[in-house]
Amino acid sequence: MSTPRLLDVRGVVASYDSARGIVKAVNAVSFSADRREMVGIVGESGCGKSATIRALLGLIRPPGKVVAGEVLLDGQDLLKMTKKEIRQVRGDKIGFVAQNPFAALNPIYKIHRQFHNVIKAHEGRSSRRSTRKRAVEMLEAVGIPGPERILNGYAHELSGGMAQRVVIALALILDPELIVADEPTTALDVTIQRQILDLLRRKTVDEGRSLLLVTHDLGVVAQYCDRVVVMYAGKVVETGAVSEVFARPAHPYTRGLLQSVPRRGTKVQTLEGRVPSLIDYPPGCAFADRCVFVIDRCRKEVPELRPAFADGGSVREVRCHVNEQEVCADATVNS
Amino acid sequence: MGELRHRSGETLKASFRVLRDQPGIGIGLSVVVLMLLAGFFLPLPYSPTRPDPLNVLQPPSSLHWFGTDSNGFDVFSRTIASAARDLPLALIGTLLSALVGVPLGLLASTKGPWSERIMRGLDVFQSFPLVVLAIAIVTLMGNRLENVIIAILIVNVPRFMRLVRSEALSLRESRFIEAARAVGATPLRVMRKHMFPNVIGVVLSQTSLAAAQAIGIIAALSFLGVGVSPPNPSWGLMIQTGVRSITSGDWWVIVFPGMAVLIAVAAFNLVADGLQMRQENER
Amino acid sequence: MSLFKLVGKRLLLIPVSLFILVSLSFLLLELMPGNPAITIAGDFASDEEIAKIEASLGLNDPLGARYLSYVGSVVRGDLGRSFFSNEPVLAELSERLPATMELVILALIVAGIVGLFLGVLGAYYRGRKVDQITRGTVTLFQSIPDFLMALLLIFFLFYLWSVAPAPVGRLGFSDVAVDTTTGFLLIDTLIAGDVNAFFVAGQHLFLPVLALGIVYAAYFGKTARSTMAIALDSTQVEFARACGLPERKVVYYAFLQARTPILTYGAILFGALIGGAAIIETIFSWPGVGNWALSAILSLDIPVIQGFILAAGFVTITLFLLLDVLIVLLDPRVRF
Repeated sequence: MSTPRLLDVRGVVASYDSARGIVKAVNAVSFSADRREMVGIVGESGCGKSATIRALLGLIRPPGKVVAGEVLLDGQDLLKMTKKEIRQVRGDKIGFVAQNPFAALNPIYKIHRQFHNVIKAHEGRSSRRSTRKRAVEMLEAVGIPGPERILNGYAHELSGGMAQRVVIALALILDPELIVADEPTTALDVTIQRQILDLLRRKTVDEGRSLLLVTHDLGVVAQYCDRVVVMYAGKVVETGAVSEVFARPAHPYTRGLLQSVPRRGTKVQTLEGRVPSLIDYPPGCAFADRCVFVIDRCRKEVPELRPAFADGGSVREVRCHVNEQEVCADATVNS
Repeated sequence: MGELRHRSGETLKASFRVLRDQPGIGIGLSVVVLMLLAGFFLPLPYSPTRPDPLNVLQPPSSLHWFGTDSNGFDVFSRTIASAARDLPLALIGTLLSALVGVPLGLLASTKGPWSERIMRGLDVFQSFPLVVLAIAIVTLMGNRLENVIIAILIVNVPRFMRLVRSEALSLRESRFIEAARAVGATPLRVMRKHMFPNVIGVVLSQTSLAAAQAIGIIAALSFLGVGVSPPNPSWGLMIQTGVRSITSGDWWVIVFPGMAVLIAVAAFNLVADGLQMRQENER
Repeated sequence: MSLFKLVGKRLLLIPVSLFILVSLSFLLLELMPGNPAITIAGDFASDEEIAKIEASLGLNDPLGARYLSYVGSVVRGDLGRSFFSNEPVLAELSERLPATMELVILALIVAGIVGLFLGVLGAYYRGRKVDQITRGTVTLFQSIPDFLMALLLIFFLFYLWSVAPAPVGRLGFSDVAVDTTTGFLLIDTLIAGDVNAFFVAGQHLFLPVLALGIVYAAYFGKTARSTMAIALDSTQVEFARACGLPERKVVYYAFLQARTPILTYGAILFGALIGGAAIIETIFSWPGVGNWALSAILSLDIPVIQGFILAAGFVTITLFLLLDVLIVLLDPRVRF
């Protein structure tokens, strides 16, 4: 804990005014990431995981805004930066990998021009020849055969897997320290998914970066990530090393998520109910209505994030009133 | 289906919220109502149809608030009196357009080659300049008030049809219509009970927009002397009277009726804009 | 290569479209009520006089025969003569169409620039003060009838401040016209090397272009706002931003997405303005086709009305051909 982490997110709150009131899409979210580490952020859709990564990239647009917290990257607070400074950080220090490459790439410009524009935006005037050389190298590095041909073509001429590799190459062209990937494989075929995730893992672990992987696919997290952040209704409900969280979930929501993944030899249990509206926030725990462990205290008092499994040796945190031993004991019986 | 019922139950509360969030709607509607009331009930200082040949082109004064035109008409009296003609004409034309266009649009939203063909035909028809078309209709069919309304209908019905059709087509794919059909509701019932309440939002904003345009068309027609019978007042006709004197600086003859047209059109546009924003925010 | 194919296909379609157009313009006027003979003879003419005029106009021939003779003469380039001026319609048309085109093209450029500015600004600052202001401006522009705008501009810019010439047409009474080459005065005066005449023509264009430009800017503004609002919300724009592109570039990326519908809308407006500028032309004594068609409609001058429909249709067809080519050039995804 003595060396500072690459990314440290502390108590970030992002809200927006809607017609019916203030919505806290990101509610005091804290987590961190080290170099050579893949951190999975999981939760159902609408839990605030996308809003969280947009908050740390400075991509929350009005009427939304980040109202509190710190995002420390290499010790520098991104939220205190001017618009110009944060723009320089995007692309240069943080690379973003979008969900659907065809929606993300510019359909009008040739691929080379898109590389050229990104490099020019950060390094000022560059010759087309030098940007082309760098783009070719990067495309080769992400496993694209015949990069010259790709650079002269358009996004719509590519296959899904190739297009996502181009997006990753664009995210990596300026050698960022942190990669943020928003459901990078949801739009792709299963076979391609593995290739893309392997590529991202290589780029993270081998080259000393850190990666935030937003996903709703727990299988992906189990296979690729080192640590996991579970979010529910805008809040972090559990964090910890993937192997431990998956073996011994401390939060009833994590447990429910794990049980809803089909596995051989067990019955799939679906999580009943839906994420509560972020406007009519229930008093107490947001998960209370769906929770099988619910006790009286849950409906009155908002649980705070607290250490769990203090005996375990590693850092685990959970936001729940119920004793974690009780929750995970029940889970192991089921699996 | 549950969502629908939930909506109608809170209609009153919801409409208050809409009025608060989009003040343009309330402002626009009150302006229209005020103009109509003034047109029908405000006592006029002079006769709007009998000129005073001894007092032509008088600038605004305490005697003639808005001045007089080159025929000796009192501009104030005529501007107010015109509201009682131009506004109802525009409103009737627009409401009739909606009454005809909405059911036709719902009908044309049934799938099939014919509805496609009809819409294509309407597209071609719409690419013709509207004002010229309206003038042609009224000129060729006779210089009567009914024909002005018919011109407004012909211009607007295709628009309502297009709009309602595209809205209904996208609704048709949605889940609650499917559900209604699954429990065996007849096509007519589906249309009346489920489609209509849901297209009403776009129809309202289009109606408001069309009313604004209708006022413009009526003004353009009467500016050209089509569809009016002098000395009956109409804003367009009053502006036409002022054209001859504007180059010599007698501004009041066109400015006051001009402002009246502008305010009326802007009022309807405000309502349309507010309704549109409301829908944009809801989606 | 595919571009040549597309142009070829469209060029082949032009004669077909024109034939439909000719038939439509013939039928449209056949179906309309109203007897031109009565209009020509006046309200107090006797039945015999009317019958004589009807015969001279060929109104008594069977429908089929009239249709064939009409199509035949149109193919030969004969659009007939005006009932009233007795001038060949084609000659008048070739004189008046460039006058309207010059006005409409310039007005659309003004409308496009002003409208895009307002629309893009509103979309970028959606839901905030700037959006409210630009939306209010657009609503105001949209609420002013074009003829009222023209009259107000004449009052302020001509009468009060004398910065614009009197609304008396393309040139002042005392100005000498230059030789006609293209029919576009701004171009013809330059060809003739008459800089003075160029400025005079420009001054006379100023007010009508401004009046139409401001009013139609509202339409561009509305379309630009809605298409840009969608484009600015797109993943593509977010990704461009996440790559650290400057905001100027990000907005341009969004514009690349939004420009096709805006261009299409511009083409539709162009077509509509060929006749839609009629009242403005009347106010400024502009010798254009709208003005001409308007008086023809009011006096039931059928050959002129038909000539106008053909001209407006021809311009629209050509315009949409150009638009299709432009879209293919601008968007690599579109292939026919």
